[in-house]
Amino acid sequence: MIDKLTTKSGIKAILGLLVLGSFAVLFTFFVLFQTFNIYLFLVVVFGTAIGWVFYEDSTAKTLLFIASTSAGTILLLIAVFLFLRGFPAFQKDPIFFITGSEWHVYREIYSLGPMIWGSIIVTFGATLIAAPMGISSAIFIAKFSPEWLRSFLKPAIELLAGIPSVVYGFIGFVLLNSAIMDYFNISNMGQYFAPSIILGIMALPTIASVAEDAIDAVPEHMEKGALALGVTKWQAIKEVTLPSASSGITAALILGIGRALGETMAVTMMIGHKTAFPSPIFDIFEPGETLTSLIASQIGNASGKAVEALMGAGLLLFLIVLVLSVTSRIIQSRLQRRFRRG
Amino acid sequence: MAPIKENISETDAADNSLISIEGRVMRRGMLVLWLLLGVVFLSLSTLLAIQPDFLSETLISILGGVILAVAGLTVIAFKVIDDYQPPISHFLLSLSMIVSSGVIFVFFPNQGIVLPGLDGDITPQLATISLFFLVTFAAVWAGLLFYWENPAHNRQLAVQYFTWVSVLIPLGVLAFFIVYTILEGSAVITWDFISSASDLMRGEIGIFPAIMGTFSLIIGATVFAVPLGVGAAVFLTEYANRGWIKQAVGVTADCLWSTPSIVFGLFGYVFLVPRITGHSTLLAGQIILAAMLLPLTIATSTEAITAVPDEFRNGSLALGASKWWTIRRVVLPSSIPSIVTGVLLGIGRIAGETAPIMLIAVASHTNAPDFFSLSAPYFHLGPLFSEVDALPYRLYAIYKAGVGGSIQEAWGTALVLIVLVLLFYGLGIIVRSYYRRNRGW
Repeated sequence: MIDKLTTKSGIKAILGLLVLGSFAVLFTFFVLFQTFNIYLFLVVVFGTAIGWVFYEDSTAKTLLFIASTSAGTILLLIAVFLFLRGFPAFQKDPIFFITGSEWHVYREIYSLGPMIWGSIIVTFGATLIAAPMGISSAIFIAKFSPEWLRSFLKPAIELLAGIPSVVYGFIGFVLLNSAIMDYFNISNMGQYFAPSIILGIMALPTIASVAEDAIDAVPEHMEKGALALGVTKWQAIKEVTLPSASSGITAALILGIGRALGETMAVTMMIGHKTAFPSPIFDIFEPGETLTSLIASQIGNASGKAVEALMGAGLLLFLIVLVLSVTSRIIQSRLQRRFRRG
Repeated sequence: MAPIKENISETDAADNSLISIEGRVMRRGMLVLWLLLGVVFLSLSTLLAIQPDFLSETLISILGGVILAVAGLTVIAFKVIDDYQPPISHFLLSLSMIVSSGVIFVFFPNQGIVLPGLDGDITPQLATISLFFLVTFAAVWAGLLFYWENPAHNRQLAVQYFTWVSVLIPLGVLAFFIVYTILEGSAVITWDFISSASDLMRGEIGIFPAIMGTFSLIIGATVFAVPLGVGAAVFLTEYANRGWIKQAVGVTADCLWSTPSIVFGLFGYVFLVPRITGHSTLLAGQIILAAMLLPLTIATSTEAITAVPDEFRNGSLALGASKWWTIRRVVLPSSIPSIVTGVLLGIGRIAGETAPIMLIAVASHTNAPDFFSLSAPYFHLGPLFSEVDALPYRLYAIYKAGVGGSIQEAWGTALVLIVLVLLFYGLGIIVRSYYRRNRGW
C-alpha cells in the first residue's frame, strides 16, 4: 500500500519536473536564443495533458500559478529588453541625452530635451483641464447623482475612455487644429495647445473613475456623523469625505498624469513634429514634439543610432510612468488599509 | 424638527446682519446686472447661431466695455460691501466669469465660426460650441448667484450645479464627437464599403480587410489573455494565502495597465518580431494586444471571483468536492458574467489601439486574413504569420497620406471603429445589468 503511494507520488513528481523543466528550457531558449523548439513544446503540451488526466488538482494549481506570474513576466521582459536596447543611448553622455536641445537624424545628434519639455507642457495642459473637471464629476457621481443617473453616467464616462485614441486624434486634427489656427491667426496647425485639450478629455475618465472609487470608499458613517451634527451635505463632503479621500484623489491625479504622458496616437496626429525647444520656452502655440509622438513618428524609418535613441526615449517614458503608477498604487493601498482598520 | 429650523434661520440672520443694508442692496444690484448680461449673451449667441455675421465690430467693443465695467464694479463691490472676511471663492468665481466672458469673445469673431467639413452659414458646430460656452457661462453665473447669497443651503446647491455641469461637459464632447462622426461618416457607409476591399484600379474604397484584421487581432488577443488572466485571478483569490503575492501581482498588473501603448509597440518590435518571422505578423499583434488586455482581465476577474460568497465554496466543500472541482463547478460559473463584462470592456479598449500594432502587425491594403477555405485542409495558420490591415491603422494611414488620403474614407473608417467599440461596450453593459438583476445571491 505504502509502496504504491510512494510510486504514485514519485511518478507525479517526475512528470511534473519533466514538464516544468522543459517549459523552463523552452521559455529560456525562446527569450535568449530566439528559437522555438517544437519538440519541447510537444513535451510540455502532452505532459500537461497527461497530468490533467491523472492529477487534475495539482496540475490545475500549477497552471494557475504560472498564469499568475504572467503579468510580472511580461513586465519584466519589457523592462529588460527596453533596457538592453535603450541603455546604450544613455551610456555615452546621459546628461546631454536628457537635457540637450538637438535631435538631428542626418547629423546623428540625439538628445531628448525638447521632447521631454514638450511632454511636460502637453501633460500639464491636459491636467489643467482634466483634474478639476474629473474630480468634480467624481464628486457629482459619487455624492449628488441619483441612483438611476449614476448607472447611466458611469458607463458613459467609461465610454469616453473607450473611444480609440486614433479617433480622438483624427477628430482633433480635422476640427480643433484648424479651428485654433483660424482663431488665433497662427500659421501652423500642430501646436502644444491643441493636443493638450484633447489629452485633457482623454485623461478625464481615468481621474473621474479612480477619484470616484476613492470618494466611494470613505465609510458612509463618517459623513452621516457629520450630517447628524446639522451641517449641509456639501459641508459634510468638504470637511469629512474629501479630506479622507484626498490621498485617493491624489492617486487618481497621478494616474491621469501617467495616462496623458503615455498617450501616443492623438498627440502624434495633432502635434507639429518639430524637434526643438519652442522660443520663448513657454510658447504653447508653436509646433513641437513629445516623447511618445517622437517614437511613433520616427521608429518606422529609423535605423542604427536613431533606433537606439528612440529606445532610450521609450525606456525613459516607461520608467517615468512606472514610477507614477507605483506611487499611485502605494497611496491607494494606504488609503484602503486606513479604512479597513478604522 | 422645529428647533433645527430655528437654528438655520438664526444662522441666516446672523450671516446677513454682518452686512450693511446698502451692502445688501448693492449686492442685489450686482446680481441683477449680471443677470441682464447673461440674458444679453443668451440672445446674442442664439442670434449668432442663426446668423453668423450679426456681430459687428462696434457691438463687440460696446459689449466688451460693458463686461469690463461690470467686472470692475463686482470687484469694487467685494471690497466695499463685505465687512466680514470675503471668502476667496467669491473672487475666484467672479474671475472665472470674466474669463468665460472673454473666452466667448475670443471664440466669436464677427464672422462666426465655420468649422471645416460642413459649409453654409448655419452650422451645427457653431450652435454646439455656442451652447457649450453658454452652459459654462450660465453655470458660473448661477454659481455666483447662489454663492453670493451665502447661506449654506445655497452653497450646497451651487456645488451641486457646478459638479453637474462638469459631468455634462465631457459627456457633451463625447456626444458631439459621436454625432459628428456619424454625420460625416454615414455618407460613405454602403454595403460595398464594408464588405469589399479597396479596388485602386477602379477607384473604389472598401474596408473589409481592415474589419477582418481588427477582428482577428482582438479574437487572438482574447484567446491568449483570458485564460491567463482568469487563471491568475483564480490563483490569487483561491490558492494564494499570503497577502504579499496578491499585492505583487496587483502592482505588476497596475504597472502593465498604465504602461504607454507605444512602449508595448517598442517591446514587440525588439522582442517578438525577431522571434516570430522577422517582419510584421498578425501573431505578434495578437500577443502584444493580449499583454495589454491581461491586466484588465486579472483585475476584473479577481473582483468577480472575490464577490462570490464563501457559502458557495463551503457548501461545495462540505459535500466532499475537492478545491479544484469547487472552483470549476461553483466559483467560476457564478462569476462568469462579471468576467465576461470585464473582458468585453477590455476588448472595446484594445480594438482601437494603434501604436502597439503599428510597428509589429499591420500594413495597409493587405488582403483580409483567410483562415478558412472550402477545400482541404479547411483551416490555415498561414495568415497568423503575415501582415494584416486594421481599422485604427487604416485611419492613421489615411491621415499620414496627407493630401493624397481620402477624408471620406477616413470618416467612414472612424465611424465603423466607433460603432465597433460601442458594440463591445454596449454588450458589456448589457451583460452586467442583466447579471446584476439575476445573480443568485
